[in-house]
Amino acid sequence: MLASEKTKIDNIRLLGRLAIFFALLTLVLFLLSGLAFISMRGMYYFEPFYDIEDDTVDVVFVGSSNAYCAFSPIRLYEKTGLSAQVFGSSNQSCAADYLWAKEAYEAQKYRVLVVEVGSFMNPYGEPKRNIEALNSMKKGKNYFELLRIHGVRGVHVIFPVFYFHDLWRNINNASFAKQPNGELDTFRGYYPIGSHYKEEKIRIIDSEYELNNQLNLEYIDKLLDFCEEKDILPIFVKTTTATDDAWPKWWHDAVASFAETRGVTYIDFNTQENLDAAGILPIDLATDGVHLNISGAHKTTDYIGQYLIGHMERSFTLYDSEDDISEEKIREYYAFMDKVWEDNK
Amino acid sequence: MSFFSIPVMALICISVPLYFLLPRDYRWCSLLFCSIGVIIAANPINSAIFVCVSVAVVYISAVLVEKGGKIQSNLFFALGVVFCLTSVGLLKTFAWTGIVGNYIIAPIGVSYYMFSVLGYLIDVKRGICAAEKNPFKFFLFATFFPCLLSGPIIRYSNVKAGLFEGHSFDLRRIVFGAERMIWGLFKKLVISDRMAVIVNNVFVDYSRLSGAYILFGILLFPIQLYADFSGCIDIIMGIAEIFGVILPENFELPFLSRSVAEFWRKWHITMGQWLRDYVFYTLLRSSLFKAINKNLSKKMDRKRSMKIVTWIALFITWVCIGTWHGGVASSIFGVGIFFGVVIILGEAFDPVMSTIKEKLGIKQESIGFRLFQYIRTFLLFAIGNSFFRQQAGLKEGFDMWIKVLINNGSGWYGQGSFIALGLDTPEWIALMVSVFVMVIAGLQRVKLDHNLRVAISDRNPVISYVVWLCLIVMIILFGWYGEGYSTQTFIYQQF
Repeated sequence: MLASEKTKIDNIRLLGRLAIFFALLTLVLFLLSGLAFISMRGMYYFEPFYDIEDDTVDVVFVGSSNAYCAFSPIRLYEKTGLSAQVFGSSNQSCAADYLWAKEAYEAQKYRVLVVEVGSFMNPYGEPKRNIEALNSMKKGKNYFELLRIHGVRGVHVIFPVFYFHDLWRNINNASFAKQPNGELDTFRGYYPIGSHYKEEKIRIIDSEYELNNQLNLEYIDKLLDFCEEKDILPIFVKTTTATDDAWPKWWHDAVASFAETRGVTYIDFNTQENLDAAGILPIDLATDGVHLNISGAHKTTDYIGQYLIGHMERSFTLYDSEDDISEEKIREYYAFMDKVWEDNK
Repeated sequence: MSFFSIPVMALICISVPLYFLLPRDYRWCSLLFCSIGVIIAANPINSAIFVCVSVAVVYISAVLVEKGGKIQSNLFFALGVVFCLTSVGLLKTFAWTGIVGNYIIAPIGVSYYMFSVLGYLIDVKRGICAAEKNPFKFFLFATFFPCLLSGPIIRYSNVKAGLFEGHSFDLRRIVFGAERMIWGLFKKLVISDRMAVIVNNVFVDYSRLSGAYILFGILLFPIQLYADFSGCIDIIMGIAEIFGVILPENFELPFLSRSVAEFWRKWHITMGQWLRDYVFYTLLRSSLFKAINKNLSKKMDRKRSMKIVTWIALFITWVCIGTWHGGVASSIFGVGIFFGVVIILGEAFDPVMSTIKEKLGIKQESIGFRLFQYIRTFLLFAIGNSFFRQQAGLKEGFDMWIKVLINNGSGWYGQGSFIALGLDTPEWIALMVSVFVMVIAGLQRVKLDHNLRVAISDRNPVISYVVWLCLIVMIILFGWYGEGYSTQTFIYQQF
C-alpha cells in the first residue's frame, strides 16, 4: 500500500473517531448544562406551564426578578378569579419578555399582558439576560429567535454550562435537598421572599414626568404590536423599589412618555399616589430594597387584580379556570407562605 | 485589540483550510496572510507600520551584508544591529516611562520578533545561513503569527523548512496540535489565572500581610509563572503544529533542575540559547575580552583568568536577560543580576562544596540529595522572581523580604485563614487538583521521553477520549473565564 493511501485511510479513520469524540463532548456539555440549571430550577422553572389546560389563562406577567417576586397568580385567582402565569427570571431582557409573551400565546389565548418594566433596563444582547429565561422554553420558533439575537454568543444559551461553569463552587448539602417550593406549578412562576426592608422610607418618584427621554426598545415595540394584533391588553407596571439605582427617575419618565405615545396604561408603584392606593409600606420590601416580599407581592397583586376587574367589561372576558387552581392548592400556597416567613425570621 | 480577540481567532480559523486548499508551493502564503492579518488586528496602525518598516530594514541589511564587500558588509550589519537594539530599547524601556508610548505603542511580540531577526542578521554575517531573497518569505519568518504572542525566539535555519515547505493534510498532526492547545489552555485558565488571584493579592497588598503569607505567595509565583508561560507556549506550538511548523521547545521541566544554571537551560530555552550564542560567546570572542584575559593572565594562572573573564561575560549576559524582562530595576536585579551572581558564586564555590559533600559522605546521585537540589533551585528561582514580580519597585521587593524574615505574627496570618488570600475552599480544592494533574502529566512526560501525546493517542481510543474529554470538562468547569472573572493576559506577552 502506498504511503499516501495509508495516510488517507488513517485520516478517514481518525475523522470517524473525532466525530464520535465531538458527539460525546456535545452530550457531556448538554448533561453539564442540565446540571448547571439544577440549582436554579426552583426559581425559573416554567415547564409546568405547558401542562395547563389550553386557553384557561387570562393574564400573563413578564419581566425580571421584580416580576417573579411581585405577582402571585394564586393570590390573583383567589381574589379575582383570574388565572395567570408569571414568566420572570433574573435580569430578564425585554427580548425575552416579548418571546415569552409569544410563546405563552401559542398555548393560552390570554387577554392581558402585564409587563414589569424593570426589564426594559436590561440590554437584550447579553446572553446573561436570557439564558435563565430560556431554561424551560420549548425548543421552537421563539427559542431559536432568542438564540439568533445573540449571534456567536448564543453558545451560552445552547450550552449554559459555559456561562454557569462555576456553579460547582456553591455545591453543598442544601444543593441536593428538595427545593423549598418543590414543583413550582403550584405558584405559577411566583417566587416568594420572606425578608423585610430595614429602612423606614421608600424613595418616591414624582408622577409628573419630563418628555425628554427616549427609549430604544425594539422588542417592546414588537411586544406592543403583537398585543395589538392578538387583541391583548398590555399594561406596564413598575413594582416598588427603594433605591434610585434600581429605578432611576429618568427611566420612569422615559417609560411614561413611551407608554403615553403608544396608549398603554402605566402603573408605577414608586409614585406616592400608587403607593398609597396599594398600601405599600417599606416593610413590604425585601431586605435589598429592590424586590417585594410576600406582603408587598400580595398588595401589588391585589391592586393589579382590582384594576383588571375594573377594566374587564371593556376589553376582555374571563376564562373559566376553576379546574386549574383548586381550593386545596390555595391552602397549600398560604401554608408555604407562612413557612417562608417563618424561615426568614 | 489583543491576540485572543474574535477577529484574530477567526483569521487563524480561516487560514487552516486556506493553507490546505492552496497549491503545495504556495501554502506558506496562507501563513503570511494570517500573520499580516494578526499584525493589523492586534496592533494600532502606527505599531503595525513599525513592524513592516523594521522587518524591511533587517531584510535589506541582510541582503546587503551578504552581497557587499567587507566594509559595506560591516556597515550594513552594524546599521541593522543598531536599528534593532535601539528600536527595541526605545519601545520597551522608554515606553514604560511614557516618553515613547505617547507616539507609538510597542507592537505585540516586539522583543520576540526583533530577537529572531537580529539573530538571523548575525547568522547571515557569520555565514551560518544565506540571506532570504524573497521579502515576503522573510516577512513571514519574522512575524510568524503564533510566535508574536510570547515567542519562542526562532532561528531562520531551524524553521525555514517548516515554514516554506507545503505540508500535506495530516489529520493526526492537526489533532496533536489541537491537543497541545487544550493542554496550554488548561494550564492558563485553570491553574495560572486562579493562582494569579493569590499572587496578585500578596504582591500588591504585602504590607497588610504577615511574613508567612508573603512567603506563600512568593513560592506560588514560580508555579503560576510556569503554568502561564508554558501554557502560552503550548498554545503557540499547538497552532504552529496544525500548520506543520514544529517550533523549538521552550521548556524542559525546569523544576527538575539540580542547579540554577541547569534551570535556566530548561526555562525559556530559546531566549537562553539566543543570548548564549549571540551575546555570551560574542563577548568572549571579542577583542576587548581577549585583551582583558591577556592582562589577567600576566597576574594569575591562565585557568583562573579565563574563569574571571567568563564570569564577567556571564554577568553581562545576565544583565541583558534582566533588561529583556523589563528594563526596570526590579527586573534587572530579579531576573538578571540575582541569577548571574548565584550562578557565578555557585561555580566559584563548587570546589569548596565538593569537599564538604565528600567529607559529609553525601552521595551526589542519592534521591535525598537530588531532592534537596531540586528544592534549593526552586527556592532560588522564587527569590529572584519575587523581585521581578514586585512591580512597585526594587525597594518594595526588599521590603517584602524584610517582612518575611522579621514580621511574622500580624495581619491575616493571625486569622489563620488562607481564604483571605482571595480563593474560597472549593477554589483551593480545584487549584490543588489541577496542579496535581499538571505535575503527574509532567512526570509522565519525563517517563515517556516527551511522547505523552503519542502514548495517549496510541493507547485504546477510549482511554484517549476519556483523557481529553476530562481535560476539556475541567477547563470548562474550573476555567477562570466568563463574567466575574478577571482573565489575565499572558505574563510574557508584555515582552
